Amino acid sequence: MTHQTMAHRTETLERTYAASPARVFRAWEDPEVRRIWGSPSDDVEIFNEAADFRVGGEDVQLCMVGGEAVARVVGRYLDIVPDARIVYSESISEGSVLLGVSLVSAEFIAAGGGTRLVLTLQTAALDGSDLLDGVVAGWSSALARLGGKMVAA
Amino acid sequence: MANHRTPDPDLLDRGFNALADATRRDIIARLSDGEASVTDLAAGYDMTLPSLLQHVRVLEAAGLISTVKTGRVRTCRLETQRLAELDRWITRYHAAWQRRLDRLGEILNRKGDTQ
Repeated sequence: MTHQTMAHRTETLERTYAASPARVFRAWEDPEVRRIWGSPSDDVEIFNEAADFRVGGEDVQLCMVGGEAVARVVGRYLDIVPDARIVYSESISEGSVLLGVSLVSAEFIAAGGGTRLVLTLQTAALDGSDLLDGVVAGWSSALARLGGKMVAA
Repeated sequence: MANHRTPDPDLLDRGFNALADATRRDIIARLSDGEASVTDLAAGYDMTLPSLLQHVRVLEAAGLISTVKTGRVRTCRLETQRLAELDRWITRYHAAWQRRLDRLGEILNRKGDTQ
């Protein structure tokens, strides 16, 4: 069975860094630097499969845990304003299953000699799996439909 | 992003067991029209309230429905487990971004200058 469940959330994260907007921007622009901070933890190593920092360009990162790729992250740049703003979409897949997509907007605002980074995530989690592992969760809706038919019969 | 899609085998067993009963399947069918109290559900069956409650407990243990008690009324509804799972995925993804931004800060601090 295929499920069509989705969940959405928008969240804004903020940080203030003791570095100029230009320096913060470069840390996003440089794929090697981004590879380092882009890892969510020391257990996860990121491998840059492709990097193309320009509007329309595509970044492909593999999240490696213990030498095994656990996720593939594809970024597509939509808007780049040097030292000020980066807007891109990030899609996260596991094998052939698309888990989620996020519109990532990063704004670099000069503040007191440093930079205030305002990051807005507009995320959609997708249920793209038609494998057995979706069955447990899909019970409710599938049984509801089935049950509805049984009641109607 | 770690794999969070593997089902709990115990939950699968409980789920299939829960569905092996016609009354329990019927309860799920009725809840697909919207939530209902145990008393409301019981009105549709020729059985005592405790017997019906047993069925409700089995369905609840299987994660197929959830119940909430408000005062003397226990309300049952279909568990939208998948939705909760997706919601948790977003929470983890956003939490990963929090850590990314912290690591970015570490890198920027390490370089020292503020140019």
